[in-house]
Amino acid sequence: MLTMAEAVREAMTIAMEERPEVFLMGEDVGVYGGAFGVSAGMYEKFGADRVIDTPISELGYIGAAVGAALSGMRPIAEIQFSDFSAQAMDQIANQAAKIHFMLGGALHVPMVIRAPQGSGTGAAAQHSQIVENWFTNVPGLKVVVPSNPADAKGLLLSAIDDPNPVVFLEHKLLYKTPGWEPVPEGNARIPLGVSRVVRTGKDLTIVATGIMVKKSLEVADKLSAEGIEVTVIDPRTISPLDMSTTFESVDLTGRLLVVQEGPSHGGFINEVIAQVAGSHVFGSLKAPIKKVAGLNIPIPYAPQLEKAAVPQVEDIYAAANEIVKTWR
Amino acid sequence: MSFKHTVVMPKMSMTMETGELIGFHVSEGQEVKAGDVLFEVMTDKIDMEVEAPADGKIEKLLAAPGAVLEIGKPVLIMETQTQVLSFDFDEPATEVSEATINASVAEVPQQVVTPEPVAVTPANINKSPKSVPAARNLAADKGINLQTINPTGPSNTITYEDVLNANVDPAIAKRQQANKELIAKGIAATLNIPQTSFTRSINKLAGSHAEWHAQLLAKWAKTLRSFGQTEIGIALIIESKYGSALPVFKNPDQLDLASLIQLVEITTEQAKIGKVPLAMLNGATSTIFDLTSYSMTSTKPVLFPNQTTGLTVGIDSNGVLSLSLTIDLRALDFYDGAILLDRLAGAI
Repeated sequence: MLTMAEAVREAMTIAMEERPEVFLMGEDVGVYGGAFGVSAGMYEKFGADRVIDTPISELGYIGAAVGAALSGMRPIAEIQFSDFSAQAMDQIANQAAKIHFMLGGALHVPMVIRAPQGSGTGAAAQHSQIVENWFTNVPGLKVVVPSNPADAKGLLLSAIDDPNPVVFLEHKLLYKTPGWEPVPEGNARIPLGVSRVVRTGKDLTIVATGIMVKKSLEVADKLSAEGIEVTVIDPRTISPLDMSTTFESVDLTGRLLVVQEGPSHGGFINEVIAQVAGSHVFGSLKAPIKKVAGLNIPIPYAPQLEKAAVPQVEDIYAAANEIVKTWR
Repeated sequence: MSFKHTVVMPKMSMTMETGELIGFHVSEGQEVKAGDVLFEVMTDKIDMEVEAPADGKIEKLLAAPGAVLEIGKPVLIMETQTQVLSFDFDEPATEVSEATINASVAEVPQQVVTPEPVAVTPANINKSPKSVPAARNLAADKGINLQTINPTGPSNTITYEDVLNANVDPAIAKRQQANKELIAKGIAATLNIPQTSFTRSINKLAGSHAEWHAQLLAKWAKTLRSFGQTEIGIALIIESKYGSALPVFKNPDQLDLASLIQLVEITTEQAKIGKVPLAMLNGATSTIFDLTSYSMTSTKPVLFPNQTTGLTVGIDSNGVLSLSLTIDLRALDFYDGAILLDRLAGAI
């Protein structure tokens, strides 16, 4: 079974073999093989023209990627830690996201920004954030948050095909782990903007992305042993956000728990809650909607505090248990 | 808004033509509850107490004790807040003028009862118990008053399970029971009528629920008319919180489709909360039972008293509709039944 890092590498390799205009650029992506080893071996395979080591200037090389995309290339730009995307924010939010709209659709910006996000590595506040929320509030960007290797491969292939800028955020703790199903061979795409029902149960709906899907599945297993059946939905792309399966599921279960690692204040889960509360399935709710999210603090350095700052399996379990058992 | 409901001399047996009013148990101006005895009737076979069909107030006594009245003749008028289900035990009228039909159809929307608006004040906001949305919806479906439920959820909130375990409001349970008995009585009266049933499969018409029912009503009426029936009333069975409601659509094929769809929509909505306009309470010559929203079929429609046909529409798992027709063999022969069903299928 491939790990997330291997699946992402396979998708980039397939895309580069399929189209000459696809190339990879970023800090240490070439000779070193990437800070997390995602692009290991690609420099040897494709050469220095297509796997480009850039200077340490996110603003500079993301700007170069935008220019390349405008002139017909399809760059994949890796940012070593997604936290550093703040350096490149003008190019991402004001240029890449807007050019197509400000030029009346005359030009496209087909580029992918790949970056690892999330805590759990003891790398402290500037290297541990969940930053997906920075981008979901910028119309013109698509935001993909894969939860497992199989999805990562198909979604990344679609992201590279997409004529719009796509921000593709991988959780660093998932790089070294295999998923719960083998990564399909071949070049099959998974469309952006289509959520996935990962597990089906009648008592509770959990909506989560990224590493929180894995944690939610552990909770579902645990609750299943206690006779409580949980549906787990992974939207996979949070911009655009596909709510259709969530509506269907909540209509059936009457209970909704949303989970994200990022700080509670803001984030896609709040959009999920707002949409369900304002939808036709409101009348099916048997319990208040509950969320489990990160604390509204910078990620601490001390390992115990780092762990306490973001949702763990026990937190999700406690919330799920409370919803189902208190609200019969 | 209130209704004036005329309580008539009921037909209590197949052979009954008249009944003697023994005496009243109520007086004018008296408040009554559904099920209270209004008057007693003596017939050639039995004596019987006639009960109030709904809560209300006695407005006027129309007959004198000792009088012998034909079935269907008015005995008293009562004022009620809710509408009352009934169907004809007496013979349908032979002649109804076009003007009357149009008038009765035109009147319908105005006769639909809307609940009295309740002023929202801080006092009665607090009276409404806290409950989760699914509990409120379930309570409305089951006809349960949330005030009667003991909340077990956090902060004294009524949970879904609280409503699941709750008993139906006795007043509503009583109406449900009365409704069942009335229908059972009607069906029992037709059981010995020689009858037969036919079934046929067709493809479903597209459109909303109301559109589908409107089309079905219009096409069935047109089919019956092509068979020489002139005054057509089709009862459509609608599930309400009080049990089955049977609003009667008079000559639906003579309305334009848009108006008929609107009439079906309004009537269905009102019937679901137990309100059927007075003008639609009687005059049925046929009844339609639509099972398509339950994805099932039934091949034996029932005959209601004084109706010569009954139609059931079902749907199988492949989405194929089945039309089933039961006919009164005293009015129509086998061949007539087959042609009727064939014409309806053709029209759809």
